[in-house]
Amino acid sequence: MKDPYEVLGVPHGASEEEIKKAYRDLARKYHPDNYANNPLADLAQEKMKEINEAYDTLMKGGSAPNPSSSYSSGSSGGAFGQVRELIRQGRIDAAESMLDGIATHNAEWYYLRGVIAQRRGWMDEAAQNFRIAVNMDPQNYEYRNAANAASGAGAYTYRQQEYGNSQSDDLCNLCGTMMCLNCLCDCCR
Amino acid sequence: MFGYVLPRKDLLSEQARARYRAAYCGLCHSLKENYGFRARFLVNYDMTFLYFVLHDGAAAQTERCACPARPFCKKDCLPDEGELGFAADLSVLLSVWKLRDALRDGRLPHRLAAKCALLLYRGAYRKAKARQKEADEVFERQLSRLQALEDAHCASLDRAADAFASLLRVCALYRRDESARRASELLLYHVGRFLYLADALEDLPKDERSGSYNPLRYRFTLQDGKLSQEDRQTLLDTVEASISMAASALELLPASDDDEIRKNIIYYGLPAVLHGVANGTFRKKKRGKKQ
Repeated sequence: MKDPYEVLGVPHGASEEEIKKAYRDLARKYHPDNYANNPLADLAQEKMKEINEAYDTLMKGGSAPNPSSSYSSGSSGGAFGQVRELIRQGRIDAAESMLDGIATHNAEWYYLRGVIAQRRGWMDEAAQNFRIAVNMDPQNYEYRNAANAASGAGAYTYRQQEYGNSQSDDLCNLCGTMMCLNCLCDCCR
Repeated sequence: MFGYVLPRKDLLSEQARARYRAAYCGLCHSLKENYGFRARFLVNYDMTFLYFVLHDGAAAQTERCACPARPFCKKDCLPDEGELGFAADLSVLLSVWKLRDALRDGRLPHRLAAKCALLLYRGAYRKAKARQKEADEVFERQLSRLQALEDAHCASLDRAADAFASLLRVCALYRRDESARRASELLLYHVGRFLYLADALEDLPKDERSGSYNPLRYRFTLQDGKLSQEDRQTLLDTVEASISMAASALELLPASDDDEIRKNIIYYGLPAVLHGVANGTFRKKKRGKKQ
């Protein structure tokens, strides 16, 4: 087993508070919701398990809160359930042809079409399908979450983070000039 | 090569900035060692990023090496531990395939220049192809797929971008460990998608004038040769979705001393470039720097 301190990214002998904070940050990062419909969901899940184990070890049995997905995926059985299962197994082409064979085009149908597109990395098509699913069933958390993620407002949003393009142009020009000067100055370093 | 995959240098620590420079110089040095002096001109930022995607663990010690751009001084550069050599091979392959693409649809002076460059890099290409057979085959397959989609005036952003993104994804084959390879593949796929769509956005006015294929011309209805506000937002959203996917993959790569650089490029560099391209300031800034 890996060193639990290393897993949580805290120094040996870190205080309980520090461990809790590191755990919370990591758990937020690798939360299953952030990896919904992501081809790497299984890797994130493994990582989450590792983090939970490390936390449990360090907190001596005080078991970690289980951040399981806040929705249950696979709301329906039957044909849609089978399509979901194929997607889960990574058999995207098979899932697509099965979905194409279903005549009922309800919100879930469009949602699953979106999931298939997203698993391929086709975010434009995914967003279009998720939007239809949300319009047909606006209350569904799973559809809304997916629609947000496919339009760049998902878990790894950096919108709040500083872009730099919000700075004034003058400041950018100044930066550019400084970089030029920097290049000239550090010629012989 | 596009030169879109850049860090936000102003947000990097002094140490990370020096490492980024050392990787760039290391790639240039590796190109010369493997392919001769001419190949130095193929050094680029996109493949420098590839080095950071593929290199895990402790940072390598830098060495001093000569730089032809500054003949009287030596530069710090990273030694080739495998990743830089691989990035050099891929730089040659990508450049040659990009030149072949230019042969197909550029104007006459461009076609002539591309032809000359291809002759110049004939030997390097042969060597790179022998070393990275699988990558070369994928490049050839995906580029002919892309050409077929372009000829058919494909109206799907996703499908047109998929060919190029799949081409970049093959750069992950350097990875032996399966989890790390899958994470690198997803990361590179979405960086490739970002590159293709950012390039399409930047070339839109030019393509509209010359009537060349551009997926945006078919996916959206242009108004006076421009995207409407709403369509522009749809495009930015879908590219940002790719940046988010790239970030989700980045967080699953094995730890590296250069995490700061990786994160800076994905979380700050790509969005800054995208918005620079969207509001027309990206190249202007670059030109400003060259003066």
